[in-house]
Amino acid sequence: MDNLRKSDEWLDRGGPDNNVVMSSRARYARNLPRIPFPMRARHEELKEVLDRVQRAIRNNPRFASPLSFSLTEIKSVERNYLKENHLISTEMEKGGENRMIILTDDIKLAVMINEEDHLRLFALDTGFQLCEVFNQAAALESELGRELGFAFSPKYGYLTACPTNTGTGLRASVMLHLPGLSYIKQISEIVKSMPQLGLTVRGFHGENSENQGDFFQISNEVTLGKSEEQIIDLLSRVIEQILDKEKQARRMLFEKNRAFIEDELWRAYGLLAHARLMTSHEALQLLSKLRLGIDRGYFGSFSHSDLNKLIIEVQPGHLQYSGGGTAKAEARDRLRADVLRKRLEIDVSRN
Amino acid sequence: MLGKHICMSCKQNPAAVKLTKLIKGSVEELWLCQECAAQQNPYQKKIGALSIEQVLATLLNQNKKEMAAKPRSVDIECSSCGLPFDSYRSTLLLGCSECYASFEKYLIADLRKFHGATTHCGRVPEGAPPVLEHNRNPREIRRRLREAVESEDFQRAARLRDELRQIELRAEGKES
Ligand SMILES: [Zn+2]
Ligand SMILES: [Zn+2]
Repeated sequence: MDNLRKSDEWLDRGGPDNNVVMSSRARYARNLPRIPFPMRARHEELKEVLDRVQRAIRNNPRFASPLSFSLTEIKSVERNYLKENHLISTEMEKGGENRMIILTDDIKLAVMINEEDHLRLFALDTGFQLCEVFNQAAALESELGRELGFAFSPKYGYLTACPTNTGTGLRASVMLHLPGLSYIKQISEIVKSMPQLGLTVRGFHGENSENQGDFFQISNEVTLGKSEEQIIDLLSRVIEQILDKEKQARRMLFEKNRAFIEDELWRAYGLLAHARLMTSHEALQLLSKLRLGIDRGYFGSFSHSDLNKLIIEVQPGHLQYSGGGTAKAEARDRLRADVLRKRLEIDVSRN
Repeated sequence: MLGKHICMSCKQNPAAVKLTKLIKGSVEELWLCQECAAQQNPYQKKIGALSIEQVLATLLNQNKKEMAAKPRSVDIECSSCGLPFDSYRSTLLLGCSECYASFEKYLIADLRKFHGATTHCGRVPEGAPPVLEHNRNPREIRRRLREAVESEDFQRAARLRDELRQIELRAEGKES
């Protein structure tokens, strides 16, 4: 298996409450002192950062057999692939000089080098595991910090290229799947209440918050003036509340509107299993419904983890990569429909 | 950029009113739609019914880029990396860690807008002294908090409240 495909592996691990919480992550923004931030650094300075961070990672036992990608060297379709796996940012997807991502071989920890900051180190896992990923990221941060000595001010904390990250430099986030709340039209209420708590909501692909298949990413906005524990604690409590509400909404849907919701699920299945052309937007909408059905024991042996993988597998970059580089939208839509039909050839007679 | 304002509170409706207030010599602007202005005008005289939570919400809601890009041009550059301050204004990206010292005077207001706070109180590197230890007296902070609310300095109040909450959290941790 090639390295790029190996990076898919983190997507199908399962984990607590993974019927609602798809994944949890915690990332730290860190910089080396006395070297300009990447945007302003010269070629040799970027090289120096890359060398020093790589050396520190080589000395770290967590990275015994690392998986690394030089964004400078890999092709744009490969960068897109990593982006779709939620492993690199939009900024890193652009490529650029002396940029790299290094992952542990279990794809639970990673360091991006020379993104907006010298280092963006993060831990990620599937399901609701916010404390776990935070502890993992924090442990790696202190190990690398001991070796590299990050830029720090007693007043402003860890110094970052953008002052919106200053202080702890910590961004914790979870990807939620909320079809239940979406059906009973309570999403906008939740989205609206987030800023008051110092939290931000984004859509599936991160940047814009447009509703994409009822997937929402929630993260802390404030990084200065709050401790790491406060940040994680607040986000955890909010997620727990949303989790309860979502479970309640699903129960209500299947108890009180069974015929309606079953019809929705099977229509989604019908389209996915038989369509000949499928855009990525439509696929995400339909797969979201399938995922809701799986939670209630529909669609045979199909699991949440299988679905997580399928969602990523039909993204444009993944199709382009596996389909031998076809970039035309219509050809891709046909390929997507083919992949979906093949994956959904399951025994559904018992439902 | 100054043309059309979106309500800073609900981030949906166009802003209908601009609330301005003089806080310790600097002017703060708040753009709100009619609804939100009626709901949570932090500058009405009677603040009894208004929780600090609500005021804090308004502060946190402010559109960052827009707030940071106030058209006040400042003709200075970082003594270390040479980044002109106006370049930061347009990209929101600083040039190096020394920029924080070079632009300190102007950055403080941005930090307050982004975070509702200006002082770090999280973890520190190994070997560094813990932060904020000098003013960790809850009674003193509570006194200052009341003072800030009475003088309607809500930004300072929010900051103090956070600080107080953190000390309380820490105290709870010790008890259990
Ligand atoms: Zn409004
Ligand atoms: Zn500088």
